[in-house]
Amino acid sequence: MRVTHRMITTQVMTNLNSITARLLRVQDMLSSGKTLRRPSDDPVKLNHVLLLRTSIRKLEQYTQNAEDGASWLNLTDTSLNQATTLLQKIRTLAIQGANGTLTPEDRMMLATEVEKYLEELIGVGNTSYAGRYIFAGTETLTVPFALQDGRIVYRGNGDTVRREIEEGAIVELSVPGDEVFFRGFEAWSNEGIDVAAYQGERFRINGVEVPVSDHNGDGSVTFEDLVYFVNTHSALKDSVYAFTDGKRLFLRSRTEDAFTLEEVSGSVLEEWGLLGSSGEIPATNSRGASGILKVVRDLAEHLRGNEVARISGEDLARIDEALDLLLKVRAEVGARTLRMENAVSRFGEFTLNFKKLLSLDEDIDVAEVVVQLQEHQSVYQMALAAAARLLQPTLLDFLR
Amino acid sequence: MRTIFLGLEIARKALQTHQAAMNVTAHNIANANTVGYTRQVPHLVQETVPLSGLFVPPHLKNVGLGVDVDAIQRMRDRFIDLQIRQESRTGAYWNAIDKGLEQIEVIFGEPNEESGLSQIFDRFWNTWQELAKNPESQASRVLVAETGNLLAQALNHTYRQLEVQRWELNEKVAIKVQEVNNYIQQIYDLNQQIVRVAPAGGNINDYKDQLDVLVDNLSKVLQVQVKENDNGTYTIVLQGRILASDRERSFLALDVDASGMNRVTLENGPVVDFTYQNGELKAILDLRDTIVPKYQEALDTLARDLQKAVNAVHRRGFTLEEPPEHGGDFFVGSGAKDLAVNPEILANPMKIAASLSGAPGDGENALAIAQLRGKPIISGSNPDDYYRGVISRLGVEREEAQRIAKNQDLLVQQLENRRESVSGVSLDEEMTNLIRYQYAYQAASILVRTIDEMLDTVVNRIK
Repeated sequence: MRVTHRMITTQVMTNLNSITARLLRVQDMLSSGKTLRRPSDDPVKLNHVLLLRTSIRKLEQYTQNAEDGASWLNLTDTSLNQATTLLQKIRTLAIQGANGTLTPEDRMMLATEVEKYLEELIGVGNTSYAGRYIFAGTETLTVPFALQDGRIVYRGNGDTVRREIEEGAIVELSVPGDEVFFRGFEAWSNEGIDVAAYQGERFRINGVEVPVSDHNGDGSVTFEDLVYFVNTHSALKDSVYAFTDGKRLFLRSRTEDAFTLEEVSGSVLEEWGLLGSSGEIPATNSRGASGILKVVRDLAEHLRGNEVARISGEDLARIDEALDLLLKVRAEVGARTLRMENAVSRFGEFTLNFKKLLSLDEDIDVAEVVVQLQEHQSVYQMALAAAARLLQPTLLDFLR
Repeated sequence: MRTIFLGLEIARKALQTHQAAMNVTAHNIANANTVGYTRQVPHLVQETVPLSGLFVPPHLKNVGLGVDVDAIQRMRDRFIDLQIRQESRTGAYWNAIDKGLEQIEVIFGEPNEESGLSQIFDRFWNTWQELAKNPESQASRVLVAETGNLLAQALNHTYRQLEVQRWELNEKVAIKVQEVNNYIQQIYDLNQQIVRVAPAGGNINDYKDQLDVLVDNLSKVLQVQVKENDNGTYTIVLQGRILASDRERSFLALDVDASGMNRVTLENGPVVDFTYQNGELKAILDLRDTIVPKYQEALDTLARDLQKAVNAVHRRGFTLEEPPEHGGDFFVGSGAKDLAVNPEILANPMKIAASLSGAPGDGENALAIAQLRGKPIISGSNPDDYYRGVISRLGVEREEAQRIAKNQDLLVQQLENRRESVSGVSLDEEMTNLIRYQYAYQAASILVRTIDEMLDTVVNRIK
């Protein structure tokens, strides 16, 4: 093959260019610390890197969710602990009050003391976390418990605040106040009702007409629509609130007092089990007021009324029941707290592992890259030296 | 009877021939670094008495008549030219595609942790999680609205950058057409010169070198048929139309289609069909009409399906107003280019429907939106997967373009080495030839002197 000088110079230039290009790439890696600068550097790795980064950011969010949830639950537990302590003190007073040797005046004094504790209990029920009342269901901006003319009012609702702590894993965070502290008069429907079939029918709660139709605009008629209607109706929401577990409709009074139910068209309420044939709310589907606050308020009333038999009988039994309930709820809260804390530490480990993997994928191995740099540099120098020797001599050098 | 003057005549021819050969060598050396220059070699032939036809005097029988330069040859391998044009055209195509894809990569800005869309997406979903946690909080609401806005703007910006790239490519089409027209004009001019010079016995080698350079350059931009005519001119044909010959020329022209994009047409003729084309112009058109729009389309799908899914969930929820109202649209717009957060929500973040029941502490609907990130809402994939798919496809596509472009460059380089091996000027070789011709010239001079002496003997010494 004929080899000309131009071929030699082009070849030398090409080789030098490819070596400097490699040097540039190594230089870029060293100064940025990353092996991946563009998707085309390694598309498979890039996919992996983006996936890991997203997973890490998701985990960071879930960690925050779980941490926040844990502190919410801790506060719940502290509050319930306070409630337990108060209730135990009240129980001591109740035992004293049941003592037959006490005079009515002594009981009046005990009653005053119980009422003071009742107010403290209400204060516990109104505990707030970062401006949100934790025992108000999802009505977190409303002070849930109050005493109005000596009667207890609950202004929250029956929903729970929930939180996603892992993809698809939703944990109930709050304990609605009406589960522990106070639930007013309550009536509920039977299960297995095809609500849509009653579309267009109407009934009355406390004299306010409630039509069965798609109130929340989701295109279907369910109990959710009635819940929405009741809870947002200006004439109803101060006296009654509704709740559904998906199968049944619960109507709850905000106070001990019952609400009134009337049919307007057809016999919706009767067919749902909310109204008996005599126009009364059937006992099988209703319950009077309950909860710690109710128990304590009754105790105070009985102390004032000097009803020793009721104090030693039903009141003490109900206080014990309430204590049991508190214990049960606290155990549940404890279990959820544990779940949150486990999640936090597990996510911490995951995040660490993912970051390690990410670093393996996208960070340079400094030692390796520096060695590469040295290699390229020496190859570059050799190429320059070779070029210098190759390009110099021509026949001209010898024709003198 | 042989005449003594015959020797003198042979010596004269030798002197002239070697002088001419030295001139060719000088020309070669002078052009050793000229682009496109083809090494020229003097074709020396021995002169003999014609064997047939004329009466040959007996004293000329079996005698050589010296040397002459029959022709000056261009050392050129047509087949290598053909290969180089074909391979460098493919190389030019992939290099242009690679450059275009590089620009798209820069526009998407992945995997840079600060600039890529993926991190804005992550932030968007996380703010919904935060809102689900604190549905009553004004701050969380502002954050959702602003991050949503940021995401929308990032999509707008990326889309518009791609649109800008398309218009730049569109400008390039015009520039390339101009370039092709320049080549056509120059080829036509050179053809004309060749036609004028060749019949007069002129040397057309240097014109042909220039022609070859022009055809090489033209071939990188556009695939044309090249025909070498007997008189040394080239005829360039595209889609049956003669673009340049020794008699006529016809340029490419531009017109504008309905969307304002340049179309390449033959002068006063139909639109050029680029289906089976290759080369730089085809690459620019492919980028403008297929590749860039493909990524715009992907962004559009992402924006539209995201908008649809988020809005559908958002409308189910309730706002934090008194009384709570049904959520409206969270996103408005018709695609990636004008996606935006509903201005009403930006003005009043209480209009974000985080609640499913209307209660202020209920973040179920915000959570439902946050959970959309794991749902197959964007043409069958979840948003993360979909976007990652787009970026991976971009990476693979460019990696492929880079690989082919690099291979083609190597191939072309090898072919050019082969061409250089045939056509390039080797200074060593030229020096050797120079010495060869110099000695032959010296020897011929001695021959003249010797015959001179012989004539001197004959004319002056014989008395």
